[in-house]
Amino acid sequence: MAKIEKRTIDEVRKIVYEFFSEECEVPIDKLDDDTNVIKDLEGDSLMFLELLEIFKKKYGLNVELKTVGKYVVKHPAETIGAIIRMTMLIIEHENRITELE
Amino acid sequence: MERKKTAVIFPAFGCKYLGNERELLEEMSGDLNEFASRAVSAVGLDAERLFSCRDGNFEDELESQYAVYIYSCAVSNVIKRSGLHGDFTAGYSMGLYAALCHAESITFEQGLSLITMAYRGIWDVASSLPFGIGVISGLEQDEVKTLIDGKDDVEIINVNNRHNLLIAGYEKNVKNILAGAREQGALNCKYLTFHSPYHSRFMDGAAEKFKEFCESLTIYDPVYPVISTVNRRIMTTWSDVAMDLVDNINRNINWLETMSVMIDAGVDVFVECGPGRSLQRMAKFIDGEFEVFNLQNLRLLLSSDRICSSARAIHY
Repeated sequence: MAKIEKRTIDEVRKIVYEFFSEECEVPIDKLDDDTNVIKDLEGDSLMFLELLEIFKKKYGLNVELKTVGKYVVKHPAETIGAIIRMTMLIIEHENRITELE
Repeated sequence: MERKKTAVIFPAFGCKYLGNERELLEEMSGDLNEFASRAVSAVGLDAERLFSCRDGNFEDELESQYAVYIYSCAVSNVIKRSGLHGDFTAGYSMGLYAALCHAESITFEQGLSLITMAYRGIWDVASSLPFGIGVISGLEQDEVKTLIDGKDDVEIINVNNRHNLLIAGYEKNVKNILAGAREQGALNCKYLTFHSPYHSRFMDGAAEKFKEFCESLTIYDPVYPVISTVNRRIMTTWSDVAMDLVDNINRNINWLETMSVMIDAGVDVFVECGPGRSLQRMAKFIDGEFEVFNLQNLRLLLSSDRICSSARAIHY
């Protein structure tokens, strides 16, 4: 289990915000943690997959997509804030994320 | 400088428009208006509706197909006039018609007729039975195959990339597979709003009728090699094209493998000709060293040294 440092949290936030700003062509200052990726930005699952691949590569994560998929069914993440929180859990727990309640 | 290869690719209807396609094209040429005008004459297209629907969400599926074809042909003309012809071309699903028009294997008007005939033939078969299409994201192809195994009335009709594929068949069974995929951990399983099971054996009857229509057309050898999405062969003759037009109706396609064939052949620049950027997004999950350009950044490509073209043909 990786120990999450403040620096990593800040880095993840920055990447997620920059990613949705660029992908959805929305100025970064128009986004906040409550922005709904599906309803407000017309985002989709491919964006989430892409983000996940970015983090898998960046942090060398051992996590299978379908493990994340099983977690998402129980804990949907639609806002930017929720996606950041889930990303932190994935970085921390990797494939053991499904063991979380 | 080493000359890398370029491929020109065409999206299908259902792609999401970005809303500024008309303005971008009109800044570059008069092709969009000319093609729209020709479509009004050829198939009675409502040009006002074509131009007022900026997000691509046409109520009528046939109109949606005409629209993507017209935008695609207009972008194709712009890039040809700039001197960019492409070493290969391919069309995603009904994007085949625009790819063939780009390759000068069929005329613009023939493309419209083919779209009309294919749509009607498919509708005749599909409207009487409860068919459906679903998209699954986040599972591998083999995992979906295992879910489908033993169920005769559902097929994988297209593999978009390594994380995303389409299934088609009877509505009830498609929905069951989607539910199973969700349980297996698919990140997204969506039942689509269009119901015709394109690219599946359920369309055998439609393909038979469509073949008769294709036989009545004069189809030319393509001037650029066209990659078949059905079996990935490189098509260089009119007879290859005639066969592929029919196969495209009732046989499974594979976009991932189609793109991979071109990447393996040395393509490092793809130009997506059409509204939106659906193929560029799909390509993010296709392996290889390449870039995909589209209408939004076409000027950037044409004025760069990534390709050899005479970009001055476009008015800046």
